[in-house]
Amino acid sequence: MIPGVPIPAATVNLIGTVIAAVLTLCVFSYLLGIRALYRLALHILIGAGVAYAVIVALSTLYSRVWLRWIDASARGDMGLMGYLAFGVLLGVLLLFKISRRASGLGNISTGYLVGVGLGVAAGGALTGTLVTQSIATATFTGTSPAAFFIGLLGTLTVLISFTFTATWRRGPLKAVAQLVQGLSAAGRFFLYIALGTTFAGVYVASVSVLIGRVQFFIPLVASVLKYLGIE
Amino acid sequence: MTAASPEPKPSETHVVKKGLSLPTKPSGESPATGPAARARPTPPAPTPPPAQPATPGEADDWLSRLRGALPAEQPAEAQPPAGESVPDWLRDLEGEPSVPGAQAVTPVFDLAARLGGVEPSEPAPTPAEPEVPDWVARLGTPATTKPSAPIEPQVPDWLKPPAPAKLSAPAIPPVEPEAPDWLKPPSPAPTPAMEAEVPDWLKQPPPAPSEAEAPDWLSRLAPTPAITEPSAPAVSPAESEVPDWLTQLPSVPMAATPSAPAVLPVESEVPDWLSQLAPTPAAEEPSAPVESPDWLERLTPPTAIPSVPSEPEAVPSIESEAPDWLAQLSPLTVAPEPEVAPVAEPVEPGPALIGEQIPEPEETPAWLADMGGAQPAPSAPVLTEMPDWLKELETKPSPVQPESKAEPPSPFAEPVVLPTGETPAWLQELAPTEAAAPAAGVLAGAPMPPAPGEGGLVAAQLPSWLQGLGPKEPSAVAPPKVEEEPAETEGILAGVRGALPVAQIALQMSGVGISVSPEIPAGDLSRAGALQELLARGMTAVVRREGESRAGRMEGKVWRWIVLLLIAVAVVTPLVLGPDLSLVSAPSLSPMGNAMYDSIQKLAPGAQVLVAFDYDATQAPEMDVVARAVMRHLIARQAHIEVVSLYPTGPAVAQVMINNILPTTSTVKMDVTNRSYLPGQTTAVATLVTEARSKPLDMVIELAATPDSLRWWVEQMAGRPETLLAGVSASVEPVAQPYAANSQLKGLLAGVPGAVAYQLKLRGVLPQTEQQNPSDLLVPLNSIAVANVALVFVMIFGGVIQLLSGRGSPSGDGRRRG
Repeated sequence: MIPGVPIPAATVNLIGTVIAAVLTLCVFSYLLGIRALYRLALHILIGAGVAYAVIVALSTLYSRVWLRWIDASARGDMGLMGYLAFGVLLGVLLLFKISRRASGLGNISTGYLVGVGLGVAAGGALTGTLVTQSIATATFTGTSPAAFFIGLLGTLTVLISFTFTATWRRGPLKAVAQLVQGLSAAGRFFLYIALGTTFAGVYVASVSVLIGRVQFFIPLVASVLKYLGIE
Repeated sequence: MTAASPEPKPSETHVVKKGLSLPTKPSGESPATGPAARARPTPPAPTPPPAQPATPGEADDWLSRLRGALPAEQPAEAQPPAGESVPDWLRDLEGEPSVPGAQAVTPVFDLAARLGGVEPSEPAPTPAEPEVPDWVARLGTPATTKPSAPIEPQVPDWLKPPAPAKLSAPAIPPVEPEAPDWLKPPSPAPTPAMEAEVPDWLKQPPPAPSEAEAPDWLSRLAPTPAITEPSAPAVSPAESEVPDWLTQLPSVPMAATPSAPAVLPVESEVPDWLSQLAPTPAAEEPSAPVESPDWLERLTPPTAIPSVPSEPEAVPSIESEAPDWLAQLSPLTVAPEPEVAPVAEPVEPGPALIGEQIPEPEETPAWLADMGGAQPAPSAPVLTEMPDWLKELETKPSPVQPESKAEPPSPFAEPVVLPTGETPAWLQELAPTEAAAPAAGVLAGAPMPPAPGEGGLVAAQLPSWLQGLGPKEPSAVAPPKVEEEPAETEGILAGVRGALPVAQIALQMSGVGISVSPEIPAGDLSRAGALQELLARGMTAVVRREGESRAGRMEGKVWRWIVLLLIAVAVVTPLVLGPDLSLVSAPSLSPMGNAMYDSIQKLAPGAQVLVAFDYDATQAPEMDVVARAVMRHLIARQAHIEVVSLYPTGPAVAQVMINNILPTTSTVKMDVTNRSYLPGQTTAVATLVTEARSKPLDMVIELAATPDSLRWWVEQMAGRPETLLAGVSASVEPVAQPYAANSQLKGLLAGVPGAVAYQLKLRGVLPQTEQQNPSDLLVPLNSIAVANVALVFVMIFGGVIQLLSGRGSPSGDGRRRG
């Protein structure tokens, strides 16, 4: 870690472990009402993550732009160089978002990013989720007719539950509104089931994270106790 | 005094004397007396002199002198009618006047007493003063500077004894049958018949010798004993009432004649002595200024003061009905001083007396207007002699806005131009000087009196306290500039300026802007504090229900602690107990898990596999278990693994996991390449899968802790030949199931339970040294199982309590039971 200073790996791991344990306890202090340590740990996490992200971004810029630019210039690949220059230009323009007056220049890069991203995402969502899932729902046969009926009913009612304009209270449309409201209620029932399932998964995931942290502390505590002579 | 029956014209020589009989004017002179004069309202009568027994000798002396002063050619109009008795005093006035120019006046009544509103007392003896009173002396006209020839007492009608019940002015006392002693003629005692005819008011004692008792103005106005009316008509003894001339004085406005004094209406009854005293309009010459009171002069703007004869009391012409002596009192008929410049220059009056109101020209009393002769029109700005203050009142509008703070036009702003004429000394003293006019500003100190020749008046030395009350010079003390205040535009005060300048007043009072600090209710403050706390702490902030009490908050904290402890015990206890606690059995791998296993198992050695570590350190405890299982299987299959990440911290997590996946003693080769972070999220996936590769990808395994990353890969890998497998978190499993069911995902491994099951199945592929004890693999499952049971128990128990108590529901609103 420190140039010229040989530090055993075990020591480094130990220091890392201790720091992690301390930060973990700081997070656990939230349960005791000690918000300051929790905030400290949270700020360290956010700060470290942002710093690491900046370093990664600079590293990526170096490896994916600068080195490639040098390689392209060495090979005389103007196309690649132009491609890289265009990317660099968009990145520089994006930096003008910092200034209030010159933020308009950054709108070029922002527009490019949003446009490309939206196009890719929209195409993927359309072809990867909406169409395929719709086809899959329509052609779902399942193992039994009941499963098929429940699946179809659930899908339709959930979609109908997102109808908020059927509020007619008079005339022939009143019956339509009542039908829509009934189906919406059934769709909300299926939604509640789906949300509950999601909650269960989140709970299991959270418990799993807790288990992992506890499993991290157990050897450490055992080591401390063994060091202190407490078996 | 009210006008009674019309009086005969002055052309008539026969004068019917009623009551007081004053010397008639000489021929050619217009009578100054007449109906107009009689109709003139009597001025406020000063205190009459006390009745003093007049010694016959003294009375006779001054009366005789009065008689002598009267011109001989007094018209016969002053002759009393046959049968009428001439008052003694009037008879006396027909004698030689002692003062040059003075005309004899027949003293037949106590003017002081009449004017003072006091009934004439017993006929007082003639005063002991040998000299003729000033007012009597001034009654003589300039033209009548003639040898005082004895004048036949001709009592004009207006001097005759008053007719019964003709009193119209309260100031005119009833005529007494007895004539004052001082008015009794010095010459032969009046005959009994004459005495009987002399009205009482004519028999009043003459002005008292002691000037202190009689008002000064009256004493100065009193005629000299020498002034006698040449043709003073005899007073009718039968009349004992208000003289006709007083009662018949009409309130006729006097015509403005710049060259003539205010003339009185013509009356045939004007005594000769009075007519003789009155100067003709055309024959008037500059004379000494009449000592008319200042207040009289200021009441009416002085028209061109005519040149009055040198006599101090220039009787107005006979054209008016007012007696000449009274006309002389008017500022319009004030004769200038002999040494004064022509009458066209009126003397500016001094500061007005305290409390004295300078009336508008139209407010001039009728009797005074009649006396004064020409009364200027209300709007006669062209008159040069009009006092400035009067001009301002007539012509000039108010220089400032009504709501301005400027001083109102002061009647003393401009000095009143006093007409030249014979003004009494006491009036001259009060007259303002030109140099010390109010236009010069606040009078400070004694003003310099103007030269005697200026304006015909000599300004009196005003005391300092009086000077300060004078009008101020507008130029010296300019009214403060008043900014026109905005007018109201709406409401009932629309158009009104300066109405309710609340904001201005508030600003002036405070000097700074108005600060408003409204009272904030305590509830709003608490809600604002809660919102601020929420924003500061984020979603971790505790949100309190409105209306929640301290006990309620404590109860919530207790329950939260109970749940926390229960779950903590449930999680920690199996971990502490280790594999000895066999709560759960080995789980079976799900179908999707089996498919994943089979897919990887089918990989040939050296297959190109792309593994995306799309999670960060916060999800590492769970995802590492899944990732370790998948990676270990790939390593066992000797595939070429490329590690990428769509998250910046993903490569670091992957490296840590890769470093610890194999034991240190393992001899298994691992072909793992960490390609680090790929920015762009969904575009990075699209770029990655479409890039040109030396070797195409055989398999893509997505390790996703969030639904988004899984969706990105699934959507971008749609229709591609690569096999897409996913190792997801337990929270992402519901989102991944549809994709797995639709065969978009060839395999799915979800959460720790799936990973444990996968590891148990992988034990057969791994070398013996790397195979772990299954019980050790089940320890996390024990904790998860116990934690799940605890959660279920808490949920059921809490739901039951909530249903029983009604709290937490939308209809409960925090109500408590029991």
